[in-house]
Amino acid sequence: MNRQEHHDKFTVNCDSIQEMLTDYMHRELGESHAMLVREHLRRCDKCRAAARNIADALDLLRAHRSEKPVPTRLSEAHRKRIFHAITHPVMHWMDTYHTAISIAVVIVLAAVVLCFLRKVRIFNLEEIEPGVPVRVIDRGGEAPALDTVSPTQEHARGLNLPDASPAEDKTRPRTNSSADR
Amino acid sequence: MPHKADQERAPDREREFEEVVSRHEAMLLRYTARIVSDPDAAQDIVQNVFIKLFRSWKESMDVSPQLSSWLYRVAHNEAVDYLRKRERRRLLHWRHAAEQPVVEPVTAASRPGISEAAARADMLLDSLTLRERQLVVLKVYEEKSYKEIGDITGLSVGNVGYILHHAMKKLATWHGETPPAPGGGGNDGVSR
Repeated sequence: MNRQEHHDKFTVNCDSIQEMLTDYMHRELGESHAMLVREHLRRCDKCRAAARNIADALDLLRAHRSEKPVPTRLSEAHRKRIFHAITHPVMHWMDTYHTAISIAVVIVLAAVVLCFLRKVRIFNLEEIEPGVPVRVIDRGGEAPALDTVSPTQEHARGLNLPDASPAEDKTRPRTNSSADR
Repeated sequence: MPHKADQERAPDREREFEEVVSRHEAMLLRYTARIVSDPDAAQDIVQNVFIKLFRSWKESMDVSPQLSSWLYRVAHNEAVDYLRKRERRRLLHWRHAAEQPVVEPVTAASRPGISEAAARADMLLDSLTLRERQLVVLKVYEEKSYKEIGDITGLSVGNVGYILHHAMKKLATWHGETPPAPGGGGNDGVSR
C-alpha cells in the first residue's frame, strides 16, 4: 500500500468524525475508531474546534457536579413517611388518595339519604289520580249509576277524543244491554 | 405458620431495607434533582420510589446492578409524573398568571451560594428535552456506560449514543450563547 492509499484509508470526512466525537470523549468508541478520530483531529482544525466546544461544555457540567448543591440524604420527615407507609399500608393508601376517597364517601352518603327519603315518601314521585264521580247514567228506571271516571278520561271525552279507558272485552255478554244507548 | 414467620422476619427486612435506602438515596436524589430542577421535589419523588420498592420487594433485597437500574427507572417515571402535574398546574393558572407574582422554578441557579458556572450549567441542562437531559445526567453526573444507560432507559446502545451526540452538540452550541428558555425543551411530550 503506497502513501496515498494509506492516507486515503485513514481519511474520513469531517461529518463522520464529528458524529463520533461525543462517543470518543465519553470513551465509548472501540480502539480502531478511536484511533481514526485521534488521527483526524491531529490534521483537521475544524473538527478540533468542534471537539474543543464539546469538551468545554462537558467541563462546565462536571465542574457543576463538584459543587454539590443537591442534598445527599433524605430528610428525617421523608424517612419517617417511608417507614410509616411500610408499617401502615392502609393508612398510607388513604392518605395518598384522600381526595378521591372523600368524593366517593360523599356520593355514597348522598345516595343513601336519597333512598331513605324516597322510602318515607317525603318526595312523592307518583301522582295518584283521585276518582271523581262526574256523570250520572240513566239506566231506564234502575237506580242511576255513577260512572266514575278519572279527570283524564273526562277531559278526553270533553274534547271528543277516544276514550282513554281500557278496551272492553267485546266477546263477553253485556249485563245491561240497554246501557250507553 | 407463615404469618408468624413473616412477623419474625419483619425487623430483619426493615433493617435490610434501611441499608438499601442508605446506599441508594444519594444517587437517586442527585439524579432526580437534576431531572426536575427542584431539590425539594426530589425528596418527595425519592420517598415514593422507596415506598414502591418495599411494596414490590419479594424475598430478600438483592443489592445488584438490576436493583440500581430498577430504582433509576422508577425514579425517572416518578419525575416525569411530577413534571406533568407541574405543567398542568401551570396551564390551569395561566389565566391568572398576570395577577400572580412570577414564581421562578426552584433551581440551583436561584439558590444562594451557587457560582455563575453552576447557574449556567443548570440553564444549559434545563434547555434540553427531557430525554436528552436524562441521558446527559446519567452519563456525565452518574458516569454510567452506554450499556448501563440502555438498561435503565430501555434504549439501545446506538440510540443512546445518537441522542447524547445531539444533546452535546446543542450544549456545545449554546455554551457560548444564550440557550433557549427552560420549559421549551423540558417536556418533549414527557416521554418516558
